[in-house]
Amino acid sequence: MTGTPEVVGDETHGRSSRHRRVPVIVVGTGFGGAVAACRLAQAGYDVLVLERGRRYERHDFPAMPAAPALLPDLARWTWEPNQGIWDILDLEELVSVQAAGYGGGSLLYANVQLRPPDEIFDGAWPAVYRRPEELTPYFDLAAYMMQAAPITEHRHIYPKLVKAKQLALVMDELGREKEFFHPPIAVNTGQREEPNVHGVTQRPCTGCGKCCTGCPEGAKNTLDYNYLAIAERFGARVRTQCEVLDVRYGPNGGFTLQLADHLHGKREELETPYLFLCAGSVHTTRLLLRSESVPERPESLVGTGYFPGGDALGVVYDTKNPQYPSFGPTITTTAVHWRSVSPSSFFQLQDGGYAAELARLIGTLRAPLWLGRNRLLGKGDRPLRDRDAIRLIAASDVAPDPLPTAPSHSRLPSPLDALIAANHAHDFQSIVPERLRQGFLPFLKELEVPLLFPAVVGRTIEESIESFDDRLFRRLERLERFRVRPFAKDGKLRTWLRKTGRGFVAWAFGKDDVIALRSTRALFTQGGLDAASVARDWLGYDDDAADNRVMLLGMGRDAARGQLIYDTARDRVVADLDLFHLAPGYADEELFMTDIARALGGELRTNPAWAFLGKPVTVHNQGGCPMADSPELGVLDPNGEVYGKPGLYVLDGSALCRSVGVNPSATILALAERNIERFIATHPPLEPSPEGRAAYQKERKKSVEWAKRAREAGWTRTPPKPEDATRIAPPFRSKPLGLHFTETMQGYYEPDVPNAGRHDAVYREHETRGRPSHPMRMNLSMTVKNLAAFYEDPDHRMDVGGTIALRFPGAPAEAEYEEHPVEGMFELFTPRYKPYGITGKEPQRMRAQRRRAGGYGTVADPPARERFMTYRFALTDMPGYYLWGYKRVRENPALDAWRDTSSLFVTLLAPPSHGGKGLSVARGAGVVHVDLPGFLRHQVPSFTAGYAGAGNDGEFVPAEDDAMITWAIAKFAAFFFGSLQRIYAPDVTSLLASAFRSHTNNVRYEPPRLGK
Amino acid sequence: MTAAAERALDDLSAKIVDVPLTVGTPPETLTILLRHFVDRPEHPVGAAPLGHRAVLLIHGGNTSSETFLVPHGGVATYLRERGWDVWLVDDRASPRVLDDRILGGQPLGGSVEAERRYFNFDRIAEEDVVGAIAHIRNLLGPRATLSVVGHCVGGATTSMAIARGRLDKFAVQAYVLTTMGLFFESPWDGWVKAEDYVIERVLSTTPGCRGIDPVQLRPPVLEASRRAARPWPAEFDEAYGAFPAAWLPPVSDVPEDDMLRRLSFMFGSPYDTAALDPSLRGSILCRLFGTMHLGLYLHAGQVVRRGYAGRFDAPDIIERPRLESPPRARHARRAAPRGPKPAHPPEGDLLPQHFRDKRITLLTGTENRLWHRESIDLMYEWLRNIEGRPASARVEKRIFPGFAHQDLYWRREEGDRDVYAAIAASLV
Repeated sequence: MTGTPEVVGDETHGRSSRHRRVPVIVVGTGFGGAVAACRLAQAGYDVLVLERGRRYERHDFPAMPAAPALLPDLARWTWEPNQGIWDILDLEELVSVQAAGYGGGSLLYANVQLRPPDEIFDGAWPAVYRRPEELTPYFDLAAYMMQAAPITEHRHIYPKLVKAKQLALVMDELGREKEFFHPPIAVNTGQREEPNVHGVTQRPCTGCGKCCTGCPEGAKNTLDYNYLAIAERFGARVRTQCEVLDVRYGPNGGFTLQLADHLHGKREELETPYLFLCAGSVHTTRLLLRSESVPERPESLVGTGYFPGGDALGVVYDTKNPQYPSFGPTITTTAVHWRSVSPSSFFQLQDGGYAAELARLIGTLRAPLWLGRNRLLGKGDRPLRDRDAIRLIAASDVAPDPLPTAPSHSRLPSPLDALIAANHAHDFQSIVPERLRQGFLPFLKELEVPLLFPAVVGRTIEESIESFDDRLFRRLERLERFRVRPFAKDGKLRTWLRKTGRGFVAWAFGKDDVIALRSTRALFTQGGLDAASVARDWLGYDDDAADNRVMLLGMGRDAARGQLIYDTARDRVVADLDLFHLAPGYADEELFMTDIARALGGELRTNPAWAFLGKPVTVHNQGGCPMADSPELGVLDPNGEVYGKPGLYVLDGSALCRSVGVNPSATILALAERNIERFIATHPPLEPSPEGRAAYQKERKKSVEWAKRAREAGWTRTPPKPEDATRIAPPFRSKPLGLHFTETMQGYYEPDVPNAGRHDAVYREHETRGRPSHPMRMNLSMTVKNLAAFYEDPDHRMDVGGTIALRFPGAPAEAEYEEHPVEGMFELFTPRYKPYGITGKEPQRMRAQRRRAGGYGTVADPPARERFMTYRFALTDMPGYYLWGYKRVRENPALDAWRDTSSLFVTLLAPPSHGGKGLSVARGAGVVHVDLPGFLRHQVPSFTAGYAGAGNDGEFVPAEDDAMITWAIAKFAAFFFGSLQRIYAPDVTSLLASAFRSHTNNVRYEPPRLGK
Repeated sequence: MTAAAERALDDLSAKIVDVPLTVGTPPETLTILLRHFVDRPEHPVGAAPLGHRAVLLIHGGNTSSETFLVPHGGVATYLRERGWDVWLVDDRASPRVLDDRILGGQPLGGSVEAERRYFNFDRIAEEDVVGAIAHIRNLLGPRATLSVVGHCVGGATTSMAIARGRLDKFAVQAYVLTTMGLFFESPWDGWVKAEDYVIERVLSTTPGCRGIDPVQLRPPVLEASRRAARPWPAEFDEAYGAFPAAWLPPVSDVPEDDMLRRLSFMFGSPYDTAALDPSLRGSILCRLFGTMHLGLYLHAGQVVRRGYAGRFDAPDIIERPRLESPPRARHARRAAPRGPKPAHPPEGDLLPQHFRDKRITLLTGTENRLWHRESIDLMYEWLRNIEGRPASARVEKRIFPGFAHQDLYWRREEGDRDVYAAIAASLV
């Protein structure tokens, strides 16, 4: 060691650092790394544990902001600037949250130790794991090591735990009592300060609700109280604040790690023959991708099979009775909802407690800022029908004692709070020294206001217009080679457009100097508002009725495969997910939450990051380096060793082959226990430690006793499966929000067209040739049953009803037009090729489609610039008669969106003419149109949001909440027009994206997979 | 009340034997005060004979050994009553040495610049701390146990002395470092001031300035003492006036409140008056703080900028060790006080192996606004990461929620929030 804190300079960051050889290195101290470190040290290995974060003892967790401060002292909050505990990564398609610290995710997780149902170990897993008993001893061992017991065992907490009792009542009311249970949680059950079973002193749980922000009592059984403490006792060397930057493979086996020692500010290299990567799903995958992003392994499977889990968050506000969300461990109950047993698909809702200091922050979910867009339930929503009725839950007869609050003196203000205070006190003017100010002020007055700022403003406006103009016309400039120059940059048209744009800004906002003056004034005076009231009134930063809230956490089995892709330019990973396929759908989780909110008489708000920004947040990253029986199918062998890299093991969440649905910590522990035992059995250490072996044997023995105790006490250690396969789960009582509108189209068709399914040019020809003899008129009513599911559905299906008036082929010319009721389906903007209308003469597109159908790795594909709206319905009173139709929306040289979206090319199918049995055959084809006046007068006003089939005769009932209707229609409009814009003017997207970097879920088109 | 508290402090001080101790290598020597708590307590709870379990308390910058004598006898009395042989030191940063003896006369070494060489953390560490510990160890003989408690600059200089191997031969059995070790993390407002080079600016505009005294509105009791009034240099006063008022306590005519405001500007708020023991109100507070010598102040600015300990004038315009970002902006390089960066960083002489076999307890408060608790957290991580520590060597950290800087010693609470009990439990 050259010394203590050493100067960091470019020279010490070079490659000149020393090399050292270490027998075994474990990277990471989360659920995988802690097990590896503990068992290796017990076995007698000389093991070095590297952890990028720091040690967190009782009082070391980042402090909560206490009123009146708005924000906490931000030291140690986030990983990025100062090695804090929260590592929040933007993986582009979602935000992933993980912990950085000695103990990894255990420092911040919600303590749940649930074993997944056996069904999840399906064909995606190596054969050995499909035997349910394979992992049983290891699940038991992990449960003993973590001392996982349900909340009912916490005798000093449970009797006063109102939120759990209230949820139990809710589940009774909803008929879900069999799917409701108290999961085992790894929290000290003791009632006084004493050593735990591993000999480390722990304090009792006070029920402060701070599990997920760092336990200030040391009552949470985090890994540093069990596995890691044992590892250090058996001589494991631990280096904290050491981040592994790179793993390189030696030519003759062995691995070289490059690490950054954040404490000393220097880089170092270590060599080892045995490396255990346990850095968490995202980071382990990143490290492996980084070292594998070499030309010789282009087909590497690292990064495939990544599952974010279906994490969702909702808060029920203003419940009728107090819930006391800040008393008790974060998660105390679980309600499981099975969607199907095979393939297993389920999700769980769990109660979420939080620190009392966070009550104001939780208030922001109902901020006026979201404009009610994340509100799924109006306050006091009435049941629509009797059988949907949910009774309000009575109040619990207990209440927790208020927690003693530590007296706080001279709280350290957060920098932001202090800046706000200084700005409010006009302190910044005084920072400029008087001398300078006296000289400078007249100069400022002379120069700044009339010249400098307006110049800046004017320049900014001009540049924005220029760049907009450039982007808009860039494509059209290509026409110049055809000697057509209407869109030349210095041409009359574009010059006029730029001038007009400039004039519009001046008209709307005033001249440059006015804009400059107004904006500077607004900046310096804050509009006469103080920060606290802005935070409270605009951002909802308010702890109003804090006791009458309950937080609901959803998570579930997620069937959509994703992939982590290494972004070489920025040395990070990004996720490629199929957000529309995120199953179990957020839609169902929201419905379940709505049921609970109604039973509690409160108002439900969901996570605005999803509802508003379309970006889910996950705290349950799984997969990335899946295990498999052969190297063609996965990255790791069934024992966790990387195929083709002897000595490199992955024992963390990235080894999971599928999303496990339940909170994954117990599964990671059990897998790590199993695989490290295999490693030690096959690689006996040079100097085995008899004490360590005895300790391990003793723990195995105790774990059997622990499992016996759990059985006898009747703890639910795995979500119960439905007893009856026909009754998977009780139906949701709440109706999902749907959408309804009508559409009228009229046109003509030509009977007995021999080859229906021709190219639409033929229909256009019919149309222009003159009116064919058979007019047709459609009055359709379109219904979306569940809007949330509609957006998730790649085909965007909706139900079609209404009537159609036509004369059938072969009917006499004087016959009346008959109205026939129809029933069918409409698909909006589906990218699929339909069996009609398209010839197979576009090999390039067909190839692209096939590639997409093959799976992932197609991120480079440009989004298809063609979509279909397909109609398929049957004439309900005429068996065998069908109408198929499609609108084809595609990018043409001219802007023809109206024509595309209003022209429906139809094919009429009728029973075979001989009247016998058989498939219906095409008997005519034509085209119908939406006419503009009808569209404006009837279709647009017909849009409404509400509940499909909720009326007594199954009719559509509009919602009572105007805000909900407005947002539902606005979101649908954004979806519809956004999709059109993606097709006709995709450049605008990149323009907007570069301006706001916004992500919206409802207008994006990732190529969905076919043949799911 | 104030008068009573001051009288009690005077009475207690009178019972403590001051031993002048000349430290340093000639000709650059000066005399500090070693103090021995020889008075028998009235209620000797298991009190052992003097010389058995010795503990040396080292105070912080611009405060004196009286830090440990208030309130109600302070931690020194607490330990004495529990059987420790308590020693205190007034090193060269203490007003009892600096204000009363040095600043009253001609500059040491003959000039103001020469005097500044006497005042930096290195000289305190290597001469005062080492000298005091050596003296006590000589008196006690090799078999007695000896512990050291260092607060603030006292903790920093003690750990610097350990890291340079200067204490290895004195067999100190336990160290308690409060609020600071080798890492100097100030809250964001301290960082702002250090980056503003206020002290360096004072040096260039007022070369004759020897120190900055936070006590400007002088209470009568100080008027009567030998401490001379020392107005602030214009440059410093101007920076004080320009500092955002919202970040300081309110302006006040009361001497101790004015002092607190000035201290908050000089270093960051050392305490909240409401959080102190009720006996510590009024002008007694003015007596507990003295002048910050400009040499020490310069060194403090350097370590705040650097983030960790180093010799005086070692490069401080460097990347913070924990941040990997592009090199600092050009203007900061221009503002570098002196010369190019030396090839071999002088702080390389702080070696972790000297801590390997030591028993060390680190202690601070969560609301410390003078040195951020991060200083202790980083020191703890650093000590825990030292390889090859024997099992007997113990490194512990105690964080007291709700405590700030100076009230760690000036406020008593019950149970596991009792700082005195935690210190006693950490000693041998």
